[in-house]
Amino acid sequence: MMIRRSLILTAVLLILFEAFIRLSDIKWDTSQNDKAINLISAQNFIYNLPDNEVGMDTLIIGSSISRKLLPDSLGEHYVNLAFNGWSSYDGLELVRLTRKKPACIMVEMNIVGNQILQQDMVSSLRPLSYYTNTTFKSFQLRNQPIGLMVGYFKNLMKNKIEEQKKKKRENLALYKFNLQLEKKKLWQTIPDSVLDAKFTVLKSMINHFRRENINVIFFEAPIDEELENTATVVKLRKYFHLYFPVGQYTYLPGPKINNFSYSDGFHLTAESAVVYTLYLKQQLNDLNNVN
Amino acid sequence: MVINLGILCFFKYSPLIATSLFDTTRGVGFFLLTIPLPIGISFFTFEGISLVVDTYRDDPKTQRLVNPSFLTHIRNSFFFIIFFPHLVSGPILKAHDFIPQIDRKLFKNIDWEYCFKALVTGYFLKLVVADNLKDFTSSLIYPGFMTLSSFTLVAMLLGYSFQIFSDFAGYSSIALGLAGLFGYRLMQNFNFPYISASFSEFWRRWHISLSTFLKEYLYFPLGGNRKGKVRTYINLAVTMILGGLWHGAAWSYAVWGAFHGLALALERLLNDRFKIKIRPGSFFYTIKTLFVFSLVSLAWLLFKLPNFSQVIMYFKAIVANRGYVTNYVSILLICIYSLPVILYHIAYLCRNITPVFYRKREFAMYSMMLFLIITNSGTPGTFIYFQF
Repeated sequence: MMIRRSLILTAVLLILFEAFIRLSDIKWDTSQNDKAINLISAQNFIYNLPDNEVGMDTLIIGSSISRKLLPDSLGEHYVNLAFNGWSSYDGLELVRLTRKKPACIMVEMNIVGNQILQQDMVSSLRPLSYYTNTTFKSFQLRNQPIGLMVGYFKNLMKNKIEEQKKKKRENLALYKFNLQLEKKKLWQTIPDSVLDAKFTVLKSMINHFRRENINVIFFEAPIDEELENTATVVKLRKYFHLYFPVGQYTYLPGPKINNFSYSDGFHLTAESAVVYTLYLKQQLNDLNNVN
Repeated sequence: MVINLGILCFFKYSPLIATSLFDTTRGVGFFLLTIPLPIGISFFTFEGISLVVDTYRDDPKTQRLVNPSFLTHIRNSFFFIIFFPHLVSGPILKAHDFIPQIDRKLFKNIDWEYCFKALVTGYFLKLVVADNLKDFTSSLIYPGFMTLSSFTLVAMLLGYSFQIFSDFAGYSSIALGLAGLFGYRLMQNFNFPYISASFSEFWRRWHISLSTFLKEYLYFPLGGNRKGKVRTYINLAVTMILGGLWHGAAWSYAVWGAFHGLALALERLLNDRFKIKIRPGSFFYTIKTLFVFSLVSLAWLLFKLPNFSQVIMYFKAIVANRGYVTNYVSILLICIYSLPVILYHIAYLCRNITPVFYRKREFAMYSMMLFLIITNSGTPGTFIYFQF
């Protein structure tokens, strides 16, 4: 008796919640943490972006550095598929596995991470997840009840949260500490054998997209001047040019003056992200005009 | 027993021996470091010990342990060891509790309500509470925590305390429910441990199957409290250090065990000396409960940061990072996901005040848990106790 009553009430709650999700137009950010931001982006791409619409889209693929870019400022058909803590590989593999064909893919060059697709992403791609999540919108990560609730309050307190973030950035000691950590990491060189293996995989993926008539553009987001010439950064740049020669592949030139501000030496602040997005827009326009 | 302990030591502690005594880049050190760890080894070797000791002991409780038929006895012994619901993360079964239950089971004898409650509670604790909290406590690693504010560091530590409870109690509850579906009753592994007002009470409520195992098979054979006060304190400390090392092959686990052993010995010493009685429910009793909870939570840090120097750095950061900006949204989310554990404990404390009210509405509570399991589960994470 108790079990039956529990199951009936659960079913009623689920129906009501599904109806609420379908009838309401939720615009605010419902992500609860960095990982959720990634998965919500991935699930939106997998479940909510119709295949016929993707054909006009340009996807931004990369790490948390590119996550800061504002696709809406670039134009109507830009989708940010860059992931916090992950790298271009995850985005490229996601596009390949979904078999969606965008018009263009912009690949960030700053980080070449592990080349194993994140387990959470694999779960979202499973047939059972795909059919349940597309049938019941309330099952999608972006519609979690607690995420909706906290997101609503976050939206109300947007200005205060931004103020706090700004205050955090003003802490110079913290900035220097983060910068030193990044510096230490980036001065450790990655062995050639590791990079060769990673770039071989990357090259086969990029060539796969080119064979599918998808335009691929490489770009390197600016980072703090102190990190620009560290061993890893220089080596990665060299490897990109080695595996994807400049004459055969398209690169967007980096900004000439590095007058951006960063939250930790590696990630652009919100204000600088706007400036860099506009710079990218200009570069893309110039590229289109040349073509 | 020696074989069981030998298997455990060989597989589990060889990396610790390798890193402590040998050069791990080659030879014996490298060999010891690269031995793979069989799943659930800490659990099935302990159950092996229980099987040997219980059958050896001439105890009326163990009368049914050895079946006259050799084949049946072998079958029962194997079934006891490999009974899968509890295998990788407990509760640790004792032969004298489990083997007498081995019999033909009938579908009509299944206690569906008991299983339903145990499974829903277990999945809720794991999927909704622990799996969500883990994404907020993931910065509890070096050097990630160095840039966080004092308030965030304290909130994360408390969040981890609730996470580890939900993760482990969740698994145990699922194991109980699953075993129930096969007609077996396993012992309760958790009994609202965070309401404990003393360390001895905490160990009567936390991972009960391990604490009773250590008591029955280690503390008592060492002499328990029968060989004088000093020996009792030593026995407590030794039992807890070994209990700590059972959790993992790192010195930080031994330190964690030593911390609990020391706390138990000190508590016993103070009780013997001053005999102070605090009435349950009083203000001082609540303060004492909070004090025990805080110390237990601080000690969990040794589970998350296996390097002891990093633990010290964490405490230093709590003191030094007071001026740093706090991310209140993350703290709010830690509070929200910790709330079910707090309410779970409060509901236990209030069980005698409103029993009828609770029983009439418990179906609504279970449906809410089911609803949240379906709509608000965190990203999947492995069980913390799997590594042990």
